[in-house]
Amino acid sequence: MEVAISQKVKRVSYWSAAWRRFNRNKMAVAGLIYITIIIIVSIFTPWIAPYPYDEPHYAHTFEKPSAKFWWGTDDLGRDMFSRNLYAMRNALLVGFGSQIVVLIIGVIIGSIAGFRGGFIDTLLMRITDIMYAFPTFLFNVILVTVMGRGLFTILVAVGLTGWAGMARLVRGMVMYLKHADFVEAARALGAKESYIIRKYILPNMLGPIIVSLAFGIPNGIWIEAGLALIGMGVRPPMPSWGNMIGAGIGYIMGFPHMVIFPVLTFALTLLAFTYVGDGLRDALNPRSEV
Amino acid sequence: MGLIKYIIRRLFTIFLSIVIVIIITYILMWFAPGEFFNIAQFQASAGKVSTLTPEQLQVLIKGFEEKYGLNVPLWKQVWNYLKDAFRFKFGPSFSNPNEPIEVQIARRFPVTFTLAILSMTLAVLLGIPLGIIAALKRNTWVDYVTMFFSMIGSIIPAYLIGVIMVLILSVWLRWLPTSGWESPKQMIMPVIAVGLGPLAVIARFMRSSLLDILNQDYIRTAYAKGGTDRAIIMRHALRNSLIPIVTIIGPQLAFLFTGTVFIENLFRVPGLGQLFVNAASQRDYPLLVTSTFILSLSVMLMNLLVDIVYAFLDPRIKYE
Amino acid sequence: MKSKKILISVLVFVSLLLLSGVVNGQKERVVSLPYWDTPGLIPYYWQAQHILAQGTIFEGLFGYAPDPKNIGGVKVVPVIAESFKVSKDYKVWTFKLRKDKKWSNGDPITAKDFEWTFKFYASPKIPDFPAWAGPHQFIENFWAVKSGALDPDKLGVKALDDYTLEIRLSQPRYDLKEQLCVAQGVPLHRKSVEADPDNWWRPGKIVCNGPYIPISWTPGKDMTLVKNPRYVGERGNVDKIILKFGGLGLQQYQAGELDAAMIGNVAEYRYVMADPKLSKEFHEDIMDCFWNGYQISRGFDPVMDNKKLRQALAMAIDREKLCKEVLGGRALPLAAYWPKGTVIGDKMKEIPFDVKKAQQLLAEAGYPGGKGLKTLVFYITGGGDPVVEFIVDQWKKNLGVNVIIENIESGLYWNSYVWASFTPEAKAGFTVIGAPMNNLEIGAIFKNSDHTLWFFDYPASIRKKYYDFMQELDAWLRKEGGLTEADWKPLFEKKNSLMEGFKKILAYLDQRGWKEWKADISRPPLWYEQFDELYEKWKAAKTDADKTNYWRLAGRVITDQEMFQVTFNGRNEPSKVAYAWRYKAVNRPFSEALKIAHYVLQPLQDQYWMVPVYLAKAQWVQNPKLEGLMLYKFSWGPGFFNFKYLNLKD
Repeated sequence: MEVAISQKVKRVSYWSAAWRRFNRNKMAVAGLIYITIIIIVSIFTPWIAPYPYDEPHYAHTFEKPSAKFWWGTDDLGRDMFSRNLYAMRNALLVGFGSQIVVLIIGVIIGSIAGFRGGFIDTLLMRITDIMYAFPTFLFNVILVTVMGRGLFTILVAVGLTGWAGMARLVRGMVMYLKHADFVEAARALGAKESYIIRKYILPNMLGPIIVSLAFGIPNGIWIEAGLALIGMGVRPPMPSWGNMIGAGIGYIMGFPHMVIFPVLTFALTLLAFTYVGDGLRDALNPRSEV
Repeated sequence: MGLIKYIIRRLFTIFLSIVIVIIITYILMWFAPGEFFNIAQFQASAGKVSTLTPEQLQVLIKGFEEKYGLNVPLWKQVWNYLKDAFRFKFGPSFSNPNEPIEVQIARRFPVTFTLAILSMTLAVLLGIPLGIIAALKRNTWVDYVTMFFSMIGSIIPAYLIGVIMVLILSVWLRWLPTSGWESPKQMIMPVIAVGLGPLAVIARFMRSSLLDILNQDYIRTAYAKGGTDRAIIMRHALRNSLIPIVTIIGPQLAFLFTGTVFIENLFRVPGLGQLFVNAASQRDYPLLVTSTFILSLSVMLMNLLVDIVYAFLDPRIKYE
Repeated sequence: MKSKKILISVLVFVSLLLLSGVVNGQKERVVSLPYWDTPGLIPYYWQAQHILAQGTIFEGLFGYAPDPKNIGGVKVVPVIAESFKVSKDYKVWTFKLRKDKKWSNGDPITAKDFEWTFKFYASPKIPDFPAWAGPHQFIENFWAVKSGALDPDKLGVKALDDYTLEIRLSQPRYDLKEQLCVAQGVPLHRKSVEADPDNWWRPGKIVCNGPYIPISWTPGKDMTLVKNPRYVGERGNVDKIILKFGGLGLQQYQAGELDAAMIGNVAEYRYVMADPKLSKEFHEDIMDCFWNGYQISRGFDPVMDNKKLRQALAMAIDREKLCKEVLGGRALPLAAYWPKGTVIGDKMKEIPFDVKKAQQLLAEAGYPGGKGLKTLVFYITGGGDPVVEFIVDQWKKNLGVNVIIENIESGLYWNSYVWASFTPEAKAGFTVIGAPMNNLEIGAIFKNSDHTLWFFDYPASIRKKYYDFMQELDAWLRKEGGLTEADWKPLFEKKNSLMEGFKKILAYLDQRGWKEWKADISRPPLWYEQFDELYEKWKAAKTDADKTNYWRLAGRVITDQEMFQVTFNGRNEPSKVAYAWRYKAVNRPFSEALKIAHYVLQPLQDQYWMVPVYLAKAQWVQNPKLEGLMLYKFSWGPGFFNFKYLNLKD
């Protein structure tokens, strides 16, 4: 009796396996599609938007959605649809930009703490603990008061207050990986430290880091909107979901469309990122969820 | 004894953290544009050019600087502030000369505290049962629906929830008033808005915690054996899965206090969050530093409390 | 038994009737109104409570009564004062008080209350007393008392007897009785304040003298006032007033929670006018104590020194269109500092809307079609400003002038760009300005257009020098030295050269016949007399610290005089004329001043540094049963105040 051993065992890489796992999560895929669309739209917003975000039409203030103004107009007769597009663009800029800051600071601090250990590690981790326990939004407000209100400063402020989680994550991974079996084996075989870092440590950190960033983006977005809501966000006439909602609340009685559209797009964007984040986490760490 | 030492160590860490935070905040304020103390601000002019000569203005400014302790170098100002801060004396506030800051805070703190406690209670009282039901009925429509709504609740920020509720419940259905903090009717929306986030997180965590325990071998075998043991085993599983919940309540508290900042503004609740926002926009630095101090202290102390409760609940925890 | 039952049921029935107020007849009359958020009740601070102190919770010698034809919709009437006399030089005012006015605890109100209160206000015990907001700054010795140099007893206020009060001023004021209407003119109850300096003002403890007393106050939420049972005087029939904070408006009015509400924006205005019930309860009035418009930014770029450029800009704005379309009918076009229909406004020439003329002026200014003119900056704050956007658009369309809008954060904007003396970092351009009167006083009728006199109407180089002098004045406060004669030498040299300049200026003022101006700058103690006195004090000083202090003060006196001379000589001619007229106006009784104010305002307006654009309207809805509701039209407005005239019809 001979069993044909003709099936080729496909070498499945970590990433393609992860991708397949991700695809099985339908909500995550939907979220990814949504995000891809809005990123493309945001890049091309100046060309896509039917009106500039600050162009007033005084004869058409407070208009409900119509053919001319798809999502209606605000108190200065500005097109709500265009303003929403720009608000989305700003939100994404802050979301992604802040995570770049978080990545840089978090990785640097976490790696130093993880590698060096000892006093520096303890010191850095104490600092991280303080940042963790502190209601960071307050600090964001204070930072913005000091640094001024603008897209870039808000982005930096969010990054400055949000690196604690990333640092902890990186530190933990570095400490674990430093002494992991396969790393020790490579060391025993004579591999250089830098080679080890490049080939073994970094790639294994990517997964959790990506997940952390994916959750950090909606965090950055809601902080930006939150700042705008209390009047400390980007300067008008630059739109932000926060200040559109904040302003719209005052007109909620007669003109709820001014609030409904920003609320919907804001909520959908947050949801999309979160589903994608969930999907990424499940895909990259198959041992998690029940 | 380990517990007492642990508490003392934690209190010390909290103390140190707050001091560092205050120093950093003070220094940041100092460099903010518009001067720490603005002469024109003092005039609080609604449009009056000064009929005062420079001499006269100088007299007033000197008095003002003395009153607010601004006639000493920065490091001394920070030291003076810290000296009194932990005795809860914060000095006069720029924007409100009627009352010292501690009086304003004392009046508003109970409001925010009530809002926070009510919201947290809602989150715990509803979140835990929801998580349990979802776990027990896992992979049925009950599970999916509950988890979907808790997903939404944990992602959508509190103010967005608040706005949506106002849109639906006040403007469209006219069931609830749009603002205020007196009657229970007025309290419903703020409490839900603040509490929904933690509720969602607790529900999801409860679900996975219970499922984790239920999936463990000894439970499964005991359960499979059947009989009256089943109920006992279920109670045992529930109790064990509740304990970890306490660990996530802590981080939720910081989140919750942040939520109150927005919700108080949205629903005109006269609490600390409203004070903080007013202070930020008016650049009332003493008030800004102090409300940050109080809010952070509250969060850290409540975290400590939660940890102590956890220590009592879980006999396995040892504090060294 | 039966009769007992009947008796009981009758008693029950009657008590029910009494409780429901039917038999009693009197239901409590309660009025709920929106009010500015009030952080405390100390009357003299420049916060929302100072408006309550003007005749509702407190009252002073004089107060406001409704008068729709007058400025601000008010006229000044005696309240605690019965009559008054004033000396020929308008420096000594003597008031006779009514003998029947009482505090809320029954104590009689006497002149001694006023004397004690004013001395209390002047004392160094209240370092942040907003002296600029009232009449105290003019009382004899106020500043010396405030700085601690003199004892409060030396203040120029004396109770000649229980019902006669004498106020001596350091300079003539023709509008003291108008000034006494403000919150700082009210007396405090001495015993209460001395017994509990921090908390005497709290509802439940407060002893006040107005028609209403606060009985409860929740900051951020509301305050309740009830009729003062011991009040003697004119008052409406309302028993209880609830003032609600938090910017409440139309929504709450519709829900029945307010008896009046301001209409805050165009959306609400349209909503009200479209509603059959609300439109009948609609009222409006003009905010005549404001003018809204723009001013040139307070930087040092000489571009805006070109008068023809400024004039062209002012004439190229279609104010009618602005008010109709952008402001949705909530404002009226305004092309002069006072609107037509007012005493002053009727005598003023307006800025015409004339695009052709404007274009011609622009070309004459050297920028035909806007070419060659750099891009200017219009500074704004807040959520966007439709008025500014419209104006910028008009300038682009009508003149080809390019202006970009730059948004500055609120606190910084008002303090450093709009109301600061100078803004060195401001580029050539504009800021908005809503120029109000704080209260009724003669200086206020110029509605801050006199900023043109103080800060604008010099060549840019002189303005820069002015700013540098202000910095130097400030620097003198911290200069080290002044311990030797050598330090005084440069000061003496300056003094001598300044003496020459001063004499020249006096002669010039004589020649032009501007005696009021001359009288003001030669009022003792003259600057050189102050200087000499400081030198003597320095010579006699014992400690180094004192020596340095006197030297510093002397340096400031010299710098101040130098600043005065440079700016006086650098002033443009129209500005000199306007300034001289201003001196004339403030040295006349109020009604007389109104007649000549246009001689001041017209030249200022014609320099186009500060340009009026629109006049805001106050719009509100009001319970038809409510009468006597007064609109506050001064700087804090629009809002409601002076509640003693409120009356609720049945």
